[in-house]
Amino acid sequence: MHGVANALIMTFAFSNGFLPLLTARALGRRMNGALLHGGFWLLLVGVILAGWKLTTNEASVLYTAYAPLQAHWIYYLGLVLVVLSTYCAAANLFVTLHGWRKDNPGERIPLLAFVSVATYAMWCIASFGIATSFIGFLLPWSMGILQRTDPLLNRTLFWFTGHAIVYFWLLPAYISWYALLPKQNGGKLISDSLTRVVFILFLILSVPTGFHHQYTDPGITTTMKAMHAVLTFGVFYPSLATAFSVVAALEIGGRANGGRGLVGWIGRLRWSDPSVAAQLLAMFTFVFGGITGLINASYTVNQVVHNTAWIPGHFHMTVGSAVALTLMGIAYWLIPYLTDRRLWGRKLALWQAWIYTIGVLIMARGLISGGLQGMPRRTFMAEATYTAEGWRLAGALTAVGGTLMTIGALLFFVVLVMTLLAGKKGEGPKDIPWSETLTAPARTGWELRLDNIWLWVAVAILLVVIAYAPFAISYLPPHLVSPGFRVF
Amino acid sequence: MSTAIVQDTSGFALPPEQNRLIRWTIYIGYFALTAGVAHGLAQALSYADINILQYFPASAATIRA
Repeated sequence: MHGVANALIMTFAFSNGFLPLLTARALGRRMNGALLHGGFWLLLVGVILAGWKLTTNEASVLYTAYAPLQAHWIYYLGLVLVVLSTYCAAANLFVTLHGWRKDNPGERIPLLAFVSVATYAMWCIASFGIATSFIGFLLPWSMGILQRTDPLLNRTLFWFTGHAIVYFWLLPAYISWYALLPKQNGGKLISDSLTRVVFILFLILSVPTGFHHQYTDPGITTTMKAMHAVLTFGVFYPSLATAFSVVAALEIGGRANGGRGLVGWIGRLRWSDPSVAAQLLAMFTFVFGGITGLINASYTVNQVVHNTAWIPGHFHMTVGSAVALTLMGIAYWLIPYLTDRRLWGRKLALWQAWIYTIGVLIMARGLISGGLQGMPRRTFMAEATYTAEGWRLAGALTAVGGTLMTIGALLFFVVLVMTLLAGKKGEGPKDIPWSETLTAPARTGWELRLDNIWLWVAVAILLVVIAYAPFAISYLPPHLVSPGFRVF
Repeated sequence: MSTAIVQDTSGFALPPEQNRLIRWTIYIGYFALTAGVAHGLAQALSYADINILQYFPASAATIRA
């Protein structure tokens, strides 16, 4: 429930709403109404179906849905509808951009629209794996149409999507850090072209990395795993470029606000604005999330941390804070903007961001140290029949940190609900906080090619074929060997 | 020379119906977050041998089964 609700549904729903809004604003065009309606209803029905089976314990397959664990077919159907809702959002962005280009021949795509469309283009390629797994195998298997399924192939299809999905969660946060947060701090984005290059690199490199989640799986050659390991380190480059670019944009703002010295500008960022504070703290936790991610991706070191509590320690500092806390920070201007209501409880919102951050750092410390001592993940430890001395402190830190995170999340809901109920009407922001770039987009030269998104999509697909074809050739056809199991 | 990252700097607002759909799409996400946070607390506490999951609907269904 935790992983499905927070990592899949929350992030997908936010992207389905947020990125079309940014694209519409960037292009100055309304969206396609039918696709907006379609996306909303598919998401709603999908969430109801999946939630129904989760809350009645008929979908105890965890968020990775690994076969041969088997859930009720309605659960798989619900998640298929949720993914289809993202396709509606993607189609809406593509259609809207197409219309804009027809009306503005030869114009550079506004940066805010470009990064939003590139994000959904990446997702359309990435989701091929999970769509094939759910529609081609898991759904017919759970309905009894297929008697057996192929666990390894389904795991491979899941991780085809599973690493790139991290970027589908992360890129809306990156978009805010690049395109909105500088404005909120009085700064400016350094480079239009660098930003486009970063998002193109994510589009190209996010998908052919999945085998680094399967280092311990049989049936995949060492060469293929090593190749994906190298590509995983490749996709770290655009994240590093993001770190330098975003920090530079923030530094411009900090110095414009009176900051001096090597680090004095940091204190002059607008920490009193809860939207800003939440996102700055999210970036801070992401430093540790990124570093631990590199350890996960290392072929040999991964053996030490694989399937231990280290892994949730890592991803609570990425999706659990870099993404979640950024989405909360965005909500502090987005919900007032969408409802034209003033944010209720700014100080409470500030407390929320700090409490959540302190909580996630304590919890991650517990999970990571426990993981290094062999504390397992995917295990309900309160009912485990075994323990180890070194897990006690790690477990206590995890519980304390998790409780603080929950308090932080509850404060977020209080601020949100009270804004809807008691926020002063007519006092919401009148526009989104879009930034400026220091340099204008080039009008001539090679940079014009950056806007050819379909060219980059083709490159991305080519790289995916190179990265997965050897496995497909050696492994297919599917080995339908396993019946379904339900362990609790 | 600074340049805007949107085409029209003077402002643009979606029609109210589209604004409403986007808002409710995002609300679905927050609703899911609520459920997920509750389960997340149960999982975090389990590391300290505290079991609150037994009071959750899915666990109750397991016990009945």
